[in-house]
Amino acid sequence: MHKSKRNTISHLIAILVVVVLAFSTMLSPAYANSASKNKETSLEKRFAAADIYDEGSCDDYARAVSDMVLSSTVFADKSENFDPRSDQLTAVRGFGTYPTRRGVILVTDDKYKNLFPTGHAGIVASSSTIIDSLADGVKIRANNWNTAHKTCYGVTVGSTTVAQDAQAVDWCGTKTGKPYNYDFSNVSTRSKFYCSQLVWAAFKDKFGIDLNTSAYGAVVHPSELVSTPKTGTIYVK
Amino acid sequence: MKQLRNFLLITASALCIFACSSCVSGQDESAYLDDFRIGVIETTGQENKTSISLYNESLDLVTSLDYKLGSMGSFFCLPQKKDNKVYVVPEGISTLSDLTVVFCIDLTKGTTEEIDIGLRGATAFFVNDDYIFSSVSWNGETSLSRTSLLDHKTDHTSLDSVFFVNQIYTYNNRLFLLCMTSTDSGSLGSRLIELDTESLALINETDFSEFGVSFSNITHYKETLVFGSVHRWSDMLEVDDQRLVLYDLSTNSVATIDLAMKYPAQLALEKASLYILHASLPTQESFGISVFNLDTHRLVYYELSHEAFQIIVKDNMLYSLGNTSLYTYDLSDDKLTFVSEAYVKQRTEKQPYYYVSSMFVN
Repeated sequence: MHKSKRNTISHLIAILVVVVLAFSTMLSPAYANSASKNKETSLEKRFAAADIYDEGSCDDYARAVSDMVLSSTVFADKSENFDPRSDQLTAVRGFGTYPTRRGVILVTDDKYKNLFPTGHAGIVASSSTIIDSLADGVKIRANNWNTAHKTCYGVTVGSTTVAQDAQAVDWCGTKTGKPYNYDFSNVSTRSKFYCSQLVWAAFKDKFGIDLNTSAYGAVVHPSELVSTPKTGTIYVK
Repeated sequence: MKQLRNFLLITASALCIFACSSCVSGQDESAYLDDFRIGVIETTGQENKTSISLYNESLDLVTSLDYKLGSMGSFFCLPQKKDNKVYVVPEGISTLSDLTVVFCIDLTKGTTEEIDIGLRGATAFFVNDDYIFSSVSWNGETSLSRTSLLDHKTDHTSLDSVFFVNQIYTYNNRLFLLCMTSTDSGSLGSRLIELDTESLALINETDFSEFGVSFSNITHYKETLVFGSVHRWSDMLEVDDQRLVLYDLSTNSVATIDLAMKYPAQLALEKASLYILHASLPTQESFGISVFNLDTHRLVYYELSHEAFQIIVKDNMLYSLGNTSLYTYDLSDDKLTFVSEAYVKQRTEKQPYYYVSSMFVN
């Protein structure tokens, strides 16, 4: 075969290989997933967060929290006139009632494909709505965790009144518009939030109550909102 | 040269076959043309996956179809049926809530499509003859979108001082938005916003706080909008409600009817009979069904012995769906007579976790 023809064929084959590779990449699920991610999601940030939340330790911690909850007391939710100075949460049998009161904290251990294996946290905003911090910001949506999640805990802070819990929700509502905080150990920032940090910060800033534990250092893992002795579990799915 | 031409032809053919096989869902959607009566949606928020199972009138499983869309449908945001098409919102993976489409099943062609509505994870929507109206609240802003069914062009507007849109409805070129509001002092309220469906211009805005803060879906009978008040605001607390709200559009007057049971969470209308499902959707408790005649105002309450979080009424039959089972009732002779029951939770894998989200009737 003439040398120039051989070169032409080689170039055409190279072009075709590139086209096939590009096409197959565009049709792959990984590309489809990444195409919908928040613009701030950089590889560097995800690796930094992944260092903290490896799947093995998160599974172990979730299991430990689940065991703790199942062997501990479930409480009735606070009454309207609950006074933390004189009242205590009352133990109940069974797994409690799914929360619809403003300011009750919701936590799930469910894991999400291609995302950090930490579960998720939110806070009840009304009987039918919750507020939670997602990658694209703070969203208000249906209070459907009882249906839509395999695991679900409802916890309430033991040292606040019903009115104060509602104020915590209102505080969360004022933090809308903030970007997602991928620097999980930087909980002192108030310019960006991840899900459990938002809930933690509400009670910290409003009432000086620190719901974090030492399990993950400065990082607030969603399950720490359940395991902390400063909350009482009022519902287990 | 001949070898080169053959090579190029083979490669081009392979590319075309690859492209076509990737585009086709790989399942026979003509099943939607078969003799099925009820479609039950099972979905997960952990991955973009949904399974729709089709049942015939005898509640036998006809087939199941899988889709790569997560968190599809909800008892809070039910599928809508319009002109032999079913529309349902998939939010996507729960902690992303990033899908911007409404999923549409054409029951006459046996095809499906995803219609881009330009809103991520819509939490309320309504379909009329011309448009899909949808809403979501992100980052302190509540948005409303209107997507044309003809050319899928979308217009957006922002709703000031609205915490969350509970329900959307259209009637007579008017768009009704039942919205929850929240004040700086932490009080919840509600507002009914009326817009022109074409221009999206504001027609009227009414404080509806005395009639409730969270509501059922809206329907209408003659010139009256009808919806249930599930919760109301009282002394800085959200409390149970059990009223039916009747908004007369000709006089702009509002009347309420006290029901026999709390949480009128969902309405279904057939002729003058309004079927009201009493259920607490967040806590997953259900109680019964009221039948209210909108002409005579006769009210009859039926206690249910099973859970139910969605009802559909069609052709003198009532279909009710719980978390695992489907139940049918005959509505002849103005009674609710149990007919059949079927277990419909087909997807039982541990990961991802599938749940029954909603149903639609053919």
